[in-house]
Amino acid sequence: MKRSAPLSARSIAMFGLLTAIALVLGYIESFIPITQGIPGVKLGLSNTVLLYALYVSGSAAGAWLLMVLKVVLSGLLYAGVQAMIYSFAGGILSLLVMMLIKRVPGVSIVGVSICGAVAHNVGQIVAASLVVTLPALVLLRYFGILLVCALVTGLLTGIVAKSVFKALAAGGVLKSDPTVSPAKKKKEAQKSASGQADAAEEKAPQSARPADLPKKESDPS
Amino acid sequence: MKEFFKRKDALIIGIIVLMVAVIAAVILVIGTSGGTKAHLAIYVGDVLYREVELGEERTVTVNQGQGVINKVHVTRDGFYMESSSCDNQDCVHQGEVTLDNYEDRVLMNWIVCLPNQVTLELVVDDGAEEPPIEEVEDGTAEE
Repeated sequence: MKRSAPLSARSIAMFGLLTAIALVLGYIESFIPITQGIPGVKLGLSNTVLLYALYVSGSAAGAWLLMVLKVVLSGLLYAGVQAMIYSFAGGILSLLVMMLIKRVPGVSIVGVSICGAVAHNVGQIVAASLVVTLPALVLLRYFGILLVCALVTGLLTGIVAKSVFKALAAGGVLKSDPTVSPAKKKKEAQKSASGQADAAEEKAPQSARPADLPKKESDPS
Repeated sequence: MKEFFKRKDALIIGIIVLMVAVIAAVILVIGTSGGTKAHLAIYVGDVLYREVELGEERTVTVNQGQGVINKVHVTRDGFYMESSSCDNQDCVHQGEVTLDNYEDRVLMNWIVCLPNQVTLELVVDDGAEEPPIEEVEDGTAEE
C-alpha cells in the first residue's frame, strides 16, 4: 500500500499563512457595512484566500481544511459560536460548488467566485430555514436580495483574486498565473518569442554576413 | 477586461439575473394582503412563544437563559428589536416593522435574530374573529 507523502514544511507554513489572512480579512469585512440588518450579507473577502488555495495549491484537502479552520476560528474569535452553523452550511456548499464549476472549461475565476458566493448564500438560507420558520414569500424575497449581493460581491472577489495572481506571477512569487490555461500560456510565450526575434532582426546592421556563408580569408573574425 | 472574464461567465451572470427577475415577478404577482389591525407574534425557534397586542409602548424581554436575551420594543403600530445579546446585531439594525412599511422591507413583516433563533412577526389581522391575545406587561420568560 502506498503511503501518502508527509506534508512539507513549506505546505504547512503556506496553509498557516492563508488561514491567518482569511481570518484577518473576515474580521476587517465585519466593519464594512454593505447593508445594515440583512443577515448573511457580507463582502466575502476571505473567499479570495479559498480561491488562492484552489487555484495555486490545487489541493482539495487543503482547501477544505482552510474553510473549516476559518469557520471555527472566526466563530471563536469574533463572529460568535451561534453563527458557526450558518457559516459551515454556506462554506461547505460554496466550496463544493466552486470545485465543480472550476472544472468546467470556459469559466474564469470570476465565474467560479460568483457561483461560490451564490452557493454560500443558499447554504446559509437552508440552515436558517431549519432553525427558524419563515413564510415562503419572505424567504423568496430574502433570497432575491442575497442573489443580487452575491453577484456583486462574487464579481468583486473574483476580480481581486485574479489581480493578485497576475501581480504575484509578474513579481516572480508564482511561476505563472494559475488562472491562465496552458494552451494560452504557450500561445503567449510563442507570441513573445516571435516578437523578440522580430525586434532582434530589425536591430541587426545591414552589412552583417549571414551566419551560414563561409568566412573570407581576409575576415579578421 | 477580457483577461478577467471568459465566455461562460456571461451565461452564469445571465442565469442569476434571470433568477432575480423571476423572484421579483413572483413577489409582485402574489403581493401581500393589506390590513389595518395587527399584533406581534414572538417565536423562539419554530415555537410560538408569545403573542402581544400593539398599542401601549413597552418592552418585552425574551430571556432564554445562559445570557441569551432579546428585548423587543412594542409601539402603537409596530415593533423593533431594542437590544440583543447576539454578536452580529443584525436584528437590531433591521429597524422597525409597522403596518405602513412592512410591504417594503426586505424581510417584510419579520425581524429575525438568527444567532438567538428569535423571530418577530407582525401578524396582520384580516378582520376575522380572533381569540383574545394574552397581555404581557414586562414579558420576562420562565424557561
